[in-house]
Amino acid sequence: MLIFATSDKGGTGRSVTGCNIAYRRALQGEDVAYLDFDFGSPTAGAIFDIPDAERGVSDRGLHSYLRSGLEPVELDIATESNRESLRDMPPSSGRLVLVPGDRGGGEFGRSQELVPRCISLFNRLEQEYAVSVIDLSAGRSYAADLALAVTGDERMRQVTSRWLVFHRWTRQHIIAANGLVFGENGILEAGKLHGHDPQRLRDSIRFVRTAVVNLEAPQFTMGRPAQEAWSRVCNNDLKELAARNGLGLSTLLGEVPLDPVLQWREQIISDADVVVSKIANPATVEAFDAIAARLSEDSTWEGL
Amino acid sequence: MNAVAPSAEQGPLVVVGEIRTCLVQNFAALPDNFVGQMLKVVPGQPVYSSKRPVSHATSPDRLTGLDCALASYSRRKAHGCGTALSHATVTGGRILQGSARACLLPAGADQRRAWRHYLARPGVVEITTRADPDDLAEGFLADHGRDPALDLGAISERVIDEVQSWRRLDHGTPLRARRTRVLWAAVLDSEIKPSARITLERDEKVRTVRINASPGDLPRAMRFCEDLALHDWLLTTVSLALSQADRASALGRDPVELLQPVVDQLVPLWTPGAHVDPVMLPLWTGLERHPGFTHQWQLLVARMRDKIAYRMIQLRDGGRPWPAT
Amino acid sequence: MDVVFREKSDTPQIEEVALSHLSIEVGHLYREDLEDSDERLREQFRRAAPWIETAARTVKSRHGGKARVSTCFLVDDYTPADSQRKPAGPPSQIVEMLVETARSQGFTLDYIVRESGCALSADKPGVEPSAQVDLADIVAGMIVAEPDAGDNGSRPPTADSGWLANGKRAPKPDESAAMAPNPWQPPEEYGRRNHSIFVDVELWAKVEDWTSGAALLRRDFSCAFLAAVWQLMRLGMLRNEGKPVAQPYRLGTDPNLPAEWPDLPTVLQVNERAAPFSAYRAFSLLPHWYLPTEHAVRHILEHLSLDAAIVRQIAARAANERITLPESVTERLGYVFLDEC
Ligand SMILES: Nc1ncnc2c1ncn2[C@@H]1O[C@H](COP(=O)(O)OP(=O)(O)O)[C@@H](O)[C@H]1O
Ligand SMILES: [Mg+2]
Repeated sequence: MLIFATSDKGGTGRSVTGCNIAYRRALQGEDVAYLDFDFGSPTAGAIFDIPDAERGVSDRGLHSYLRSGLEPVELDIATESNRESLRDMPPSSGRLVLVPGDRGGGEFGRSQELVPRCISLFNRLEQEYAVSVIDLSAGRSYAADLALAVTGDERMRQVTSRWLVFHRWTRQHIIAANGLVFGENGILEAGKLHGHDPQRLRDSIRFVRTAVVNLEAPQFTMGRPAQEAWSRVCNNDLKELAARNGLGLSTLLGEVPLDPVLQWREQIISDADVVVSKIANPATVEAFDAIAARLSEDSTWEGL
Repeated sequence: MNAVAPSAEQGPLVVVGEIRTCLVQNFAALPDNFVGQMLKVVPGQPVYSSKRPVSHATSPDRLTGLDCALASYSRRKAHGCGTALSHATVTGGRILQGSARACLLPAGADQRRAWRHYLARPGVVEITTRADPDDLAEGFLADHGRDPALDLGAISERVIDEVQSWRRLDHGTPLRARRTRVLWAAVLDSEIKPSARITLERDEKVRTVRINASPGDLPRAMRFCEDLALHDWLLTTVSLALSQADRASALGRDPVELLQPVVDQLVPLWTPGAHVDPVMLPLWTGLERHPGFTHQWQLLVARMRDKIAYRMIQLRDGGRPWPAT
Repeated sequence: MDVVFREKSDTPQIEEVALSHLSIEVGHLYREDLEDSDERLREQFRRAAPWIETAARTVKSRHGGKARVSTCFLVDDYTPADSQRKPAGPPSQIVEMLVETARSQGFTLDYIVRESGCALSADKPGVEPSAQVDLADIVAGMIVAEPDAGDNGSRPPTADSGWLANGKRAPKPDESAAMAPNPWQPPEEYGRRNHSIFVDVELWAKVEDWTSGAALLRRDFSCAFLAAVWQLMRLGMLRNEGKPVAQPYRLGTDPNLPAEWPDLPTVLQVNERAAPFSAYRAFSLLPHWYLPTEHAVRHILEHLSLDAAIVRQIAARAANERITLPESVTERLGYVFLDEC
């Protein structure tokens, strides 16, 4: 299964949430690959805490593969990461692998080679990994267009591909996410040009709300009553706005609460962060876990 | 296409190769006539095939131009220019291999020659530096890291990609499998006693095979390595399926879903030595003694069958664990 | 000792084709030029005739009076689908004109070949296009790009762009180092001595073909590429899965030629007693403006990986007949480029 992670804007939490979902999915027992297609800012190496790949690798990243056909490296998180919790995943977990981007980025080669190259790559990963999460860059990027062209190709029709659109829980982000999917040159329109069946493509898109403020947090319940009341009004307005923009409950895959750890640092949240050091919130991990599980839940992905 | 090199009176020959093995990207095993079409990668050249005991087909050979450094075990500098040969094989309509190789021969000259000189010697890389056969063979096997000097694996990988871009594959994935790599190096000398050594490298996907044989045995040695790579891949894939099944059980999921396709589709393909020339069979026999390929295989298959049987009984008894406590 | 990568039992049977000592190409003209009048043809044959005689005499003096020499003429009738060419008249007229004009200039024409038959070949008249052999594709599949220094297999050779170079192309200004004062860098011939003679030949153009209703990419082959196929045919170097291709079709005494050009077989034998069409060596008598084309042909041939079994077979037969053959096929080709006199 291919999971494309996208968002209308940068800084939405797409990479951090995507990496955490991949990690949770591996903990759930499946082999997972994470592909950093965000050619502008490949940050997954930093999130998984792999020193040599912090801002992408110096060669043999995804970018050089697409440009020149050089086989990309696969970094096994269990051996490459500096973090103990990632090195010591329980035996019931699957393998977690990062296919990093390149540090420099740069120009692509002739475009006619990109699609077949990408198809080869995805098909190969599909054989080996139950889930591949592909972090596309923000907005109507080149990577997103490539992903649509590739998944629209007849050679990929047996491969399940799903799209996660990450957005923050604010007015502007909701409107922007709507635009990315339904708007002019949005995913649906571009998908149609690449031979996707519009209905099927639409059914394979879900939204993920990131860094959502928890109104039950003491900050609100124990703060000023006026603040709390006003926040509730805002939240309800947003819910309405989301529903009107096609981002309502039926297309919602999950909601990740604002987490103190992630506010400070882009990282994987391990169970130890919640249970042992208690720096992260249990609700955050629960949210990642639930989203990871829903990736393959048929009832979640039934046609709307 | 046959690959022929001119006489080499200089002594032993070194042949190096890399084989990548994977599953054909199709839900069901491909019928023979489909395999024949899929492997037709060179117009006007025939696909070779044999049917028994499992069907096996080989694509025509392709050439890739090379002008690069060569690894040596002693780290002495070596350089070569010429071509590598590569082809794809399909076994049982199910397993696909990309196999690239080159014969390393001393060059008469120390400069690159006109291209037609190398094209008249397909599959030969002429070494423009002085080099010892053993040193080159072991150097090649040790050089399986990220940036190898001579990257035959990438050539094999491209053969696989090209074959799989055939329009009529459905690109379905009936079971999960990893692509394995077998690097092999043969030193061919008329004075030498045939032998083979297989090493499982630290990188889980990599095995290296060192062969000694007589020069006339080159095609057979290559077939032997492809057969070895195929059976090693079967072992790897079945072990992987078993560990996935164990994980699935631990997490309360049904392991049979994972195991059934493996039993149905892969178990019948275990036929070590079937497509290997009798001359090479002693090498198989040696590997059967140590590390005991077929013995390992039988154990793994038995474990899979046990798990499936156990699950069937569970289901028959209404999903209760068995034996009932 | 030989290094053979394949088991004996796997080796396909390479069928033999009959071989002359020498094949002489007596000319090569556009179909239209022949249809308009016989003037150009007469001129070409007048200039070629003395060379034909000399070549035949030379071969016989070396290999005895029974040495086999055949003559052939190539009609350029290759029509990429969308090019504007004059509709063709009936082939029989041109065939007769060629045979008669040769006779009037004092030599016998043995074979007439149509160039489009070098792309898709047929042994008989009226073969359906789908049943014809894709000769150009077979030859295109033999191309092996020359490696650049440092090529170790990691990267695929630059894709199928339809061009073939004998060196490293000049980098595009935007690919070279940024802000360099002079962004232009020259191309470089591989293995050059001091200076380069850089050659880059167009083999085919990819065009969209809508004849089937949907866009399919089709290759329109260049004249140079088809001429390379033609030279290989003359040297007996081509097979389809081991079987001979484009074998001469004997016209016989009662010429019942098809009315349309595409229905003609590739090689038409117009002299009942002709020596074999293919030969150990090929000699061409061409107008001087064919020089760049033939240079391109030789360049293409030097980048082909010919079937080693065929190469060996022909070498063995030559040795049997005590003929010394150069290893490289390009060295088996000879030319005279005819000037105006
Ligand atoms: N649930 C969350 N709670 C708090 N901060 C978050 C949360 N998710 C992401 N962030 C933070 O938001 C910032 C942007 O996240 P990132 O994943 O880099 O975004 P993108 O990939 O969309 O550009 C990072 O600093 C990250 O730690
Ligand atoms: Mg990011």
